[in-house]
Amino acid sequence: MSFAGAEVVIGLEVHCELDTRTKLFCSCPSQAKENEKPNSRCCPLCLGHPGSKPLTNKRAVEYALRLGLALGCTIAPALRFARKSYFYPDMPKNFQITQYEHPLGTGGRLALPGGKVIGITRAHLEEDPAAISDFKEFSLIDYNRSGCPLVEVVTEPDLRTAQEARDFVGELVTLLEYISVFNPERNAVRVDANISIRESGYVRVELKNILGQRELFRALIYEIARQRKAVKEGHAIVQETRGWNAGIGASFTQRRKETEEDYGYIEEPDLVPIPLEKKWISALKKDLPELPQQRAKRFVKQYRLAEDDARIIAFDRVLGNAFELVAENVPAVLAARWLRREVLRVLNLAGMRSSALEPQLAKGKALMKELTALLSLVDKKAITEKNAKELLEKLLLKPDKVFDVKKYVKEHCLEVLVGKGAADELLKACERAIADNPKPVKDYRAGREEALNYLLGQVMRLTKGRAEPSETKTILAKLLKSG
Amino acid sequence: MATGAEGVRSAILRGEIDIVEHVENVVKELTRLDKRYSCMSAVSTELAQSQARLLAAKVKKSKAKVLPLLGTAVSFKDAICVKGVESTASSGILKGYKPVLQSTVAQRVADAGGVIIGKTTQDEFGFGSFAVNVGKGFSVPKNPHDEKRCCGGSSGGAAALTAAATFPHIALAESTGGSIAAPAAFCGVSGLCPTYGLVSRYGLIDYCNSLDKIGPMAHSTSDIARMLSVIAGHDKRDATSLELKRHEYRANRKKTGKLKIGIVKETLAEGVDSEVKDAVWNAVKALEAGGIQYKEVSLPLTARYGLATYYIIGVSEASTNLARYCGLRYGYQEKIHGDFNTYFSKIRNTAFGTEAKRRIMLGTFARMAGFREAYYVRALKVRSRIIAEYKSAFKKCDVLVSPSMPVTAPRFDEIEKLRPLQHYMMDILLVGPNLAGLPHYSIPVGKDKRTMPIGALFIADHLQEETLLSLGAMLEKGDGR
Repeated sequence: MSFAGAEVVIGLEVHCELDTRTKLFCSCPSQAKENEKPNSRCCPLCLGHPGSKPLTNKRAVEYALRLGLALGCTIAPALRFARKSYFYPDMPKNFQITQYEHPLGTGGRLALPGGKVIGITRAHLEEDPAAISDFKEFSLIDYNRSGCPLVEVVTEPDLRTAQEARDFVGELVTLLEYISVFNPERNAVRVDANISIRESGYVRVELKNILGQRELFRALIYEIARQRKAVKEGHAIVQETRGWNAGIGASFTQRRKETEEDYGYIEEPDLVPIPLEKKWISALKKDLPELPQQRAKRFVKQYRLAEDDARIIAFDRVLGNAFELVAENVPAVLAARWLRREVLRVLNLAGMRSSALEPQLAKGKALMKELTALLSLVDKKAITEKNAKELLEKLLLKPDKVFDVKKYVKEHCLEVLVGKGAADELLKACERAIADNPKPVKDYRAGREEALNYLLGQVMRLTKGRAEPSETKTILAKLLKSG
Repeated sequence: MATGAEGVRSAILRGEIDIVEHVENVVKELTRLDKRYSCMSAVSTELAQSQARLLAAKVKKSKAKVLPLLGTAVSFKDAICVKGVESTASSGILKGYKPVLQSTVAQRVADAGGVIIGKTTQDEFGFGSFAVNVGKGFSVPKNPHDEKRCCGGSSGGAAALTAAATFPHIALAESTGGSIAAPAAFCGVSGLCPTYGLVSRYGLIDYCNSLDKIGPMAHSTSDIARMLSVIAGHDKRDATSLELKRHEYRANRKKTGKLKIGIVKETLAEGVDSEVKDAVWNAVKALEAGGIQYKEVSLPLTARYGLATYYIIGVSEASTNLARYCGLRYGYQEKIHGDFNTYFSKIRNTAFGTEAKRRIMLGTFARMAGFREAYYVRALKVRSRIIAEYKSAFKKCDVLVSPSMPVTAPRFDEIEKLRPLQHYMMDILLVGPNLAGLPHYSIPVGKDKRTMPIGALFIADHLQEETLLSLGAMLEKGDGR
């Protein structure tokens, strides 16, 4: 046993919804509409009607292949589906079309932020069941989700803590988004976790259907504590399937199992095996972007970025691309600082995802050019950071109304106050600020240093933000001392 | 009345038959026949009448000439979904179910001017060889040649109606392990099971998806060819549909003179009724007189393992197909109480017939962990070997011949005495071509001393339907029918 001696052993099955337009085996929309009615986007196939037949969505296959390749999996020679049989009210056919003996990808890997590598056993495509809402007296089934494409990623039992499990899912979601097969605004991940602890002799408990990273972390913390407590109190841990109740924050027994569940797999006879031609696979491989983990490493090496900055920029595909373009003309560290802090701040402020700006932040596009121009001005200290930030907001929030930054700065007289003439203006503004604000002046002289910041603010106001802060402070201090 | 599809079509085009009136008469006659032979699960009077009115309008506007099935009554095996017409695969669990989708074959028949007259009774979901395993609430169809005898199955109602119909009619039946040839032989009609994938299964209520094939039954090879031309050809809604263009099948395209026939030795051995053997030999001799050579060929693997392989694959897939029938969404329902497991168990226990339950249990067993490799997975491997055995036989000859059934139609009281395994043995001659997905054609070749019909089975290589049709036409001529 490779995990002998480990305190906690965790393996995950992560079900990721794919961002396709239609479902896996029919042409019903796979993405929910706003305020949609239950059972409003389903056809006879989604409802398991007799006589209906599945047809494979090529885009979903392509997405799953992209993920398989990004995880470094070996790709199967042909796409083959299987029927997994079990009775459950959310299953319209009481079998699920999934993959069994021939998963699309096998034997991949994905690293955690600290560098620890987690083995990927397999990645396969399958259809989502319907959604059930349980009430006291009855349950309701919504088949809108029925048949949506999922890719299931199964890890080796390589994870040792709840944090590692959470980090793994985080890395996976980043990767999915990075290769454009997943949109966190529309798509969810649901996780099944296998947990065992040393004290019980590694009796495996499966925790099913946990939604998202945060819940996974909570559920694992709870479950590890529950198992430890049980062993301590002399109870045996039994092999079982448990559910996670996010509402009360506890796991509960769903099904005891003496042996593995028997799903009676057969090949899906309505779908013929589709050869996954080498040509197609290598074209997909070629089309994959540089993956975030590698890119972050490269950023550290090539641009001398701090690891933290490199990760944040590289893990956002759009930001990473923009960074590299800006860095062609602006010192990389400055570019990184501005993209990581300011660009992200503006996006957060507007509730925008960077992907919304992907078309405009491409090479040669106006917005990209102006962003670079703006950061060049910052680099040359030709405008103050304060004004630069305002201009950045202007640029990003109205990406369709791009303006010429240099011209704008000139027209609005936003050049920083340096040099002949300008120095005069700055001095005058400082004198004015002191004259108009006797109280802060008094405070400062009484030893309250922070009053200087207030005066600086006044100078900024008077100069439309063109005052260079440190220089201004020096002038103010000098004037106050002499006055 | 006019005979055959072409007869009624040309009579309508010439204005000798009024199609609306004709369909009225057909429905009346059909109701009478159903009363006598219990061959229908549903009669679609309204649909037939509305089709007739639309076709009459087309005739009036001289737009009906292009319709090959104009005015021909077409029945559908109950497992083939016809939109809005109760389609149950003759199972109690689908009682009252009206499909929301139209099967591709029904659509193509309607587009070709065929008049959809109803659904023919079958063994529940196709599970049987005599059409006596009809679901709860359905009547067993009777053989028009002797009402004390069965029709053969599972497409029993289709064969009975084809044999008894006094109006131009073609049945669409379906074969998984022999369900077209068996009843065709017992009822004395011609039945063609096409190459797997030639005819779309979209809208077919599945028995065993990797084996199910839809095909026509009729009195004449020319009607069979006409119907095949309408239903064959690629359908993008069925992933297993072959990518072949529509084709005009004819019974006289292939030159029969140089054909070589292989008599399958194992199918004329012990266990086959001597009158059946004699009739098949006579047919071969008749073909020989027409210049066709024959020799014996042997298919030992198929003879030995065919039946077991068929039943394992059949029940494995069937048991998953039937899982969806659980009393939710459609079909037989009761007031829900208890949890899901309790509820669906009760529904399935109440509404499935004995044979359906038997096959669910057998199929669930054959794919269970621990047995799966020994049964299901091995059966798939044997199927590949059986296909290879046929392929090598077709290097030596063009067509294989055997009896369709080892006996003529048994009486119902005789069937009652058979054990399940003896039931299953009835398919022994038919499972081979069905497993291999080969086209096969059962043609009436005589009668036994009780005047019950005998069928001979002609099997051709994949997609060689026209060879079979040519042989059929040749036998029909020589037969003097």
